[in-house]
Amino acid sequence: MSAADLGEESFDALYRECVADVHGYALSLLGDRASAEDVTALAFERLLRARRRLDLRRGSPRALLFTIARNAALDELRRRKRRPDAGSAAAESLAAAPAGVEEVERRDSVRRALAGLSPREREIVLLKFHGQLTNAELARAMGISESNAGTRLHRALERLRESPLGAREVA
Amino acid sequence: MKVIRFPGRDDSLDGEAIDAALNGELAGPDALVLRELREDIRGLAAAPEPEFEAELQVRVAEWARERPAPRRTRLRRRIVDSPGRSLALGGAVATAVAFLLVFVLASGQKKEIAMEVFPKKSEIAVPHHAHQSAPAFGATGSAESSPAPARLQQLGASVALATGSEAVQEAADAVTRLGTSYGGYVASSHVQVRKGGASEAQLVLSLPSAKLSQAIAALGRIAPERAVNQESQDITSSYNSARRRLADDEAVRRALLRALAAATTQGQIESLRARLAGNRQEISRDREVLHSVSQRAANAQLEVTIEGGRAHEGLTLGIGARDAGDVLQVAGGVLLIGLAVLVPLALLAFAWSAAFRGLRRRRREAALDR
Repeated sequence: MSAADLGEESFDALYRECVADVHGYALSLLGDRASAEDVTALAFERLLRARRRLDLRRGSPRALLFTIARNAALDELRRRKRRPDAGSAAAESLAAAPAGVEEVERRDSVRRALAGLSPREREIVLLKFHGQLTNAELARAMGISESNAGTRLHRALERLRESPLGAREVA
Repeated sequence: MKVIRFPGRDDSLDGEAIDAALNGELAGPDALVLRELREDIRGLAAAPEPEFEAELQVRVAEWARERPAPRRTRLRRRIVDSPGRSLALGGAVATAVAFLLVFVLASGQKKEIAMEVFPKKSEIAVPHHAHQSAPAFGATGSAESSPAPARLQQLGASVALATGSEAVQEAADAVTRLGTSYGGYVASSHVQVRKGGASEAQLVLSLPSAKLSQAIAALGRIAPERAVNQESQDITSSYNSARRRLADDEAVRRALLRALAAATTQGQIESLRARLAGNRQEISRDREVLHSVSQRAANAQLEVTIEGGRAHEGLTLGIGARDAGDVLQVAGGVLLIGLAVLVPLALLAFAWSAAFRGLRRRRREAALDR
């Protein structure tokens, strides 16, 4: 998809394809629904308003969308640091309703494994899995080299492996 | 119960393999576990609320339908988005700035020259007489009341200026203004302007002697000086002689007046009155002579000749090449100044932009460190 192709219909398709993923990524990173919705809306708005000057050689529209979403989410985290009372609604339940007991256990172990990661490791895992970005796109989004992105991702997966999740038992 | 192997160091997947595994292009337990992990992590986050999704979809549709930006903004964006155009724009701005700078500098220099050529009013208002100047000697002054100066000199100079034929009139006007500004006047002038031929002007300025040197120096700023000739003549003896003569005649007058007061006969009185009348005329002449000598010392004659070069008749290849060279030289100078302005500005802008981006990225990344 080129910049010129990012017309109304294409954008609509991109929206339908990505809205849940962007929202999920922002929600996982920020921890509260209101901020996640703000970041999601902001990401789509910025991408749409910038569509005429998008350089798609620097990444797919999806990758650019997640780059914008990441920047917006990090800006939100910075604001929270300046105003500690902001984002206090993070305690709300974020998870989708699981189907059964087994799934509840799985989700719980995944959540604990993720919580055991450092913030940067957790962020790259979230960006990788929610954004479904390649390592090159991850690198551009994070402003680091591709090899660095690969190393960080590998290290994060390694940490997950070392967590109880890595040797979990399934029936 | 079975243990699912997780992608690890020994059998880890590289970047492309991870992507292939996630996309379902790679089979095997590692790929399966990775896909399951992705779904588990994605499943941790709740789906967006239907109301939010619907509302955002409407807003997205509105944004997408928004009219393209105004033409001016689009043009600006085109310029800004294209590095080549940005460079061209920057170059144009820098060149304009350079032209402006050159203009401002040139104006300032011109003003400075004008101020140097024409002295301040305060300097003219009270002309001070140098040691060459004779003391002011009024018609009623007395030779005895004013002390005799050390040495008196009559100064004179002639200056030849060279300029273009078309600039002779302008230079003559400037010389006239210069003479007036130094407290002098134009004693005589002759300006001959010929179209297509050599023009010439001759002016004789009468200036305070003390200002002669400054005036000669200022003439050089009106047009290049081809020749400067200065001369001086000692007129101390003439001055002293005139002064003595006046003093003598004044002494005679005083004696005659005393004799008149003592005269007893009508014949003596008439004779003395006749001599007094003659003496009065002598004194008057003596004063005129003394005044004339004083003026010769106080004022200097400055002859200015302005020679205009012969105008070019038609355009020849050599003249054209020379003019083209001049134009290129000036253009090169302006370009150089433009670059001198543009390069540091561009470097500053680049450094500022890089620093700003770096700082912003660092702050964003720091937001993760909680």
